[in-house]
Amino acid sequence: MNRCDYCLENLSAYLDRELSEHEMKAIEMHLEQCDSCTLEFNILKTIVSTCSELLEELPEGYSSSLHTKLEKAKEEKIKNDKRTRIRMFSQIAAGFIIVITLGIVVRTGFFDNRMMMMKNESTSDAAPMAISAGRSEQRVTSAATPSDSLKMQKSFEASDISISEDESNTDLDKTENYDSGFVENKDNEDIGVTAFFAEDVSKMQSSYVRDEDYDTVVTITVEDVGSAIESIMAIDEKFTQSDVNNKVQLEDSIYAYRGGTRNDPVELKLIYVETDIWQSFLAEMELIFPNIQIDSVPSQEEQQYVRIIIQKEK
Amino acid sequence: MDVTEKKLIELSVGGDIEAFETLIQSHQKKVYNIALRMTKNPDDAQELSQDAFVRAFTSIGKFRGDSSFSTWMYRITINVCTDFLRKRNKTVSLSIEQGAAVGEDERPLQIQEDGPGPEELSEKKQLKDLVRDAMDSLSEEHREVLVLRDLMDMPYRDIANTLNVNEGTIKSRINRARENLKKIIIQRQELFQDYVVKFDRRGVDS
Repeated sequence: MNRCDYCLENLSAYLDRELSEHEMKAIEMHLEQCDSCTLEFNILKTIVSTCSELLEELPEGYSSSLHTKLEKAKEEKIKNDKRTRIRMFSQIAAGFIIVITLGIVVRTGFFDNRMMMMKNESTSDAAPMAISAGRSEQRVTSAATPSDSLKMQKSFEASDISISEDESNTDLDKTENYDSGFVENKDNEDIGVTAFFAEDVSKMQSSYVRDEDYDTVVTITVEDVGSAIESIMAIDEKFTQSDVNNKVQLEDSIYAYRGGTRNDPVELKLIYVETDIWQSFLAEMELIFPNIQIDSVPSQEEQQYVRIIIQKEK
Repeated sequence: MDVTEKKLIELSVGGDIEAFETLIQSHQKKVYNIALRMTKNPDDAQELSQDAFVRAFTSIGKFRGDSSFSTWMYRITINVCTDFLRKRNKTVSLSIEQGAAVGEDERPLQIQEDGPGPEELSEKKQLKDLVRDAMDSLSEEHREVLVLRDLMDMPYRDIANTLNVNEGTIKSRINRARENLKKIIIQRQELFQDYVVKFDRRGVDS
């Protein structure tokens, strides 16, 4: 590369002062000697300084119409959170019915000896506890304790009230929900319980155990990287509590890989803090990508990531 | 992150609209301008930039502070815009010719009736129109780096963070984007050459 080529290639970065001291000096010296590069530099400088003057004023009434939208969004968020709660409660209720049914089956002795033994293991004769004990054998994490059962009982009672209530609720009710709407932590207990039931009943086979301080590395090989990312995005969107950075990253890479022309592998770093959601995410991935490979590696950062590597099929 | 900003973010997480409005006060104009250059249309720009703020408000609990708030905010804006353009490109591609014709009518390249004023002022305005127009005809990828670099005055590292690509890519992308911009401008106007000569002379004089 001759000097002018080198200079022109770095002219923009020189103007923006984004070069090393050494590089800055080299370009500066070249410009002193070379008229044609200096002309180029002046043209560039004029364009860039004009660009920086292109900022336009906000349209009239911008802030007030934004304010209206924010108010509306807040109301909607409160409403949505409430709806999620109701849906959650009905799931818990459904789970509960299944547990009770199973409990009755266990009690009336239709199951084999193994199940009978499990029943004997539990000290109380409450049906949900018998199932909890059975479950803790299968999965190392999140073993249910008697206090969990108590929590479930409570949630169930609460759900009765929520479901029978009319959709158009009183203001009093709204205020009550408002707090938990934005400070999302309050709901965590309930979410835990929901996932507990929903997964236990429907996806007994998928049992991933999450290690602390380990990233999950998910490798898939696909024909079209772009549409694979779109599918992952669809899974991610199912979790309403999903991290906004997940969405941003997925959207970015869909943008980069659209049209299916790029062949290089892509790596995404997604975040699923809740273990239940993390498990559901992996289960969904397994369904969609049969050749999936899941490993765990020590985490480099404080945050535990799900690192997804997508390779294009050769 | 300074203390006030942190406090405002905390309040916004709790659903405090006023706190959020104070937080975004200094970003409104910039975010609007990102959307304006990306969509090239004031109505869309208002709609989309406000959508970006709403999205930021409802998901501010997920802002973890590993970038500055403005970088996070610009990233959301760029994404809202890209999303919009992608959807629009799908539907508009059928009527490309129509669209182009309307665009030209809306913003003629040569604005003849500049109000009274010193010659230089009107020349400056023409130059601005010229550059703006050239920028609008760049590809989406090139437009977005130049908006972040030259309108938002962001360093390369922050642009890389916002767009989720590495710094080296940003460096070469900005260089190529400006090359293209220059080509378009030179093609369209001789005025520009004159201006650069004047600019050059002034630069030497002062």
